[in-house]
Amino acid sequence: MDKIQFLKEEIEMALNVFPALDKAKKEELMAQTGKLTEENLLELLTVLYRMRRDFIEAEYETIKANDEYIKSLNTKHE
Amino acid sequence: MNTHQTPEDKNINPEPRAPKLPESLAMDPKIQTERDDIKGQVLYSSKPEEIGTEQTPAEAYKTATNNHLAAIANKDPNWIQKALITRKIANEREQIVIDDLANRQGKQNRRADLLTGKQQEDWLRLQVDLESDKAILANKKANTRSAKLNGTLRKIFSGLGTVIISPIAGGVNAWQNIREERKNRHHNLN
Repeated sequence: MDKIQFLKEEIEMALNVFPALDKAKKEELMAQTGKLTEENLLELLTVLYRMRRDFIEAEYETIKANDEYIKSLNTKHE
Repeated sequence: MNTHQTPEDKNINPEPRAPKLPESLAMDPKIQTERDDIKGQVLYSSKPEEIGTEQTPAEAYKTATNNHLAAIANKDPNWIQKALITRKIANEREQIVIDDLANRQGKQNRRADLLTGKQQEDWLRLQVDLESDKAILANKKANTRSAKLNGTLRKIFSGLGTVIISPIAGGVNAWQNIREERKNRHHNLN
């Protein structure tokens, strides 16, 4: 498979992680990827992966904060 | 490794270590080295030990995605095989992260259910504030990322005479949808 085609497929999949992203915008973005170089496509994919990882990181932070809060409640009322 | 520790024990006292993300993955010297040195032996193994048994699920996912990006960037004629393998590993690692998060959230909710009387009142009342704080933090993070993505897009497309306006304007909503997805998973698990 051509690497540019592979990258476009990867980007399309990565965009699907963001369900609230307007479908028309997704299509517009995908249509324009046709004009991009391999390097640019890779850069775009990298940013999308980083966003996904940020979401995951924030989920862990939220759980940790909640855990600490529950612990503080237990301590407070002991 | 503590051989007496059960999976249950591990989850009772979770201290999730959120991975620090490189400011610029593309410019990260380590990643660049991986791209240059990639030979397809160790980096693409599906054995968890080689990814790192000491890694948290989030860190393992990060490693897997870095390896995947490096595999795609590689100039090796066999890049496609490596890219497909690393994609599979990244997908598996992501699923592990999702399951881990759902598990931790489930345990947290069960701990909260054990609160009684005044503790429970405090918990329920302050959850409202906490949700508000989290929403603010989530919005801030999503907006920051949106800005960065838009910046990248502007840079990429600048030579093409095309303007893409806020392609990820739904970032905040996306965040909320992901949270909802997690919540649904949690309910299904329970």
